[in-house]
Amino acid sequence: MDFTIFEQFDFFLIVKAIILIFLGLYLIFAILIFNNIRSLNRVVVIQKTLGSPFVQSIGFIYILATIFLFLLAIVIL
Amino acid sequence: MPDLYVAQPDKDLSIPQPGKVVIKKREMHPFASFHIAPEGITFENQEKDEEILLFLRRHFITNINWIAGTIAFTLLPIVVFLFHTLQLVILPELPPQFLLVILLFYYLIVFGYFYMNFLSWFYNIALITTLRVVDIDVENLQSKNVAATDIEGIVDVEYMQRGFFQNFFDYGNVLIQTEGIKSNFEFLRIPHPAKVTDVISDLISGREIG
Repeated sequence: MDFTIFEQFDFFLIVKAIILIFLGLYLIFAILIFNNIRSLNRVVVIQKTLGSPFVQSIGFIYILATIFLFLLAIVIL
Repeated sequence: MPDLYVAQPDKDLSIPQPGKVVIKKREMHPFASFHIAPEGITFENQEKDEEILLFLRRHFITNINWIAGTIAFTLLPIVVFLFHTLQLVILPELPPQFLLVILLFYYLIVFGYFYMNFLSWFYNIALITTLRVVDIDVENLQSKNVAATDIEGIVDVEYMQRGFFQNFFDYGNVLIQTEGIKSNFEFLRIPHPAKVTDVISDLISGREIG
């Protein structure tokens, strides 16, 4: 009886769900980092080309990359 | 008749004001660890007449561990793939789209590791201004601690350099003791600790910086 329950689940569907959960958590982590960078940029500002604005924009790209991977995982898996 | 005694004009016995120190500002590289009078740096609650005399971060060489870690983690999938090709490692059979997503996710995590460590170094800053000492401590970006003390409140400043690496690369710890119940300041693994101590000592005694 128990075997029939397990047989109904697709192994790759479980893997997909696990990947999406981890990516979702990672996205929250990326947003938290970005918020902390913004908060730190209020404390000290390094007004240079490779200074605070550059570091903050890297944080934004990092969020975009995580969102992209999350959507990619939904589409191709 | 020659004068037997001529009174000398009174020497200026007034205590020099730290705020009156005038220094020439210089352009700073954003990834610098030590810079005298940096240009283009501002901080929260900075006074109008307050000038930054010293900008300090951990010595760049202290980042070697996580930089080496990032390089190792970046190369790890290539090594695993090579081992797999040589049949030294057996990997679970997964469809290519799963492998792609897992590999991209792995590299996103590796980048996250690099970025977190970089930010931790980038925002751990110590500033010595004409009026005070500001210490910004960031731990894993989850907590930040900003502490400041007036120059007048500094009682003593000392530095320590221990071990081969610290002496070879000229970095070490600077301890600033403040009066009374105020907490002391510790700048860890900063470049040229002797010079930093010298600047702070000059500032306390009101001498010209340089």
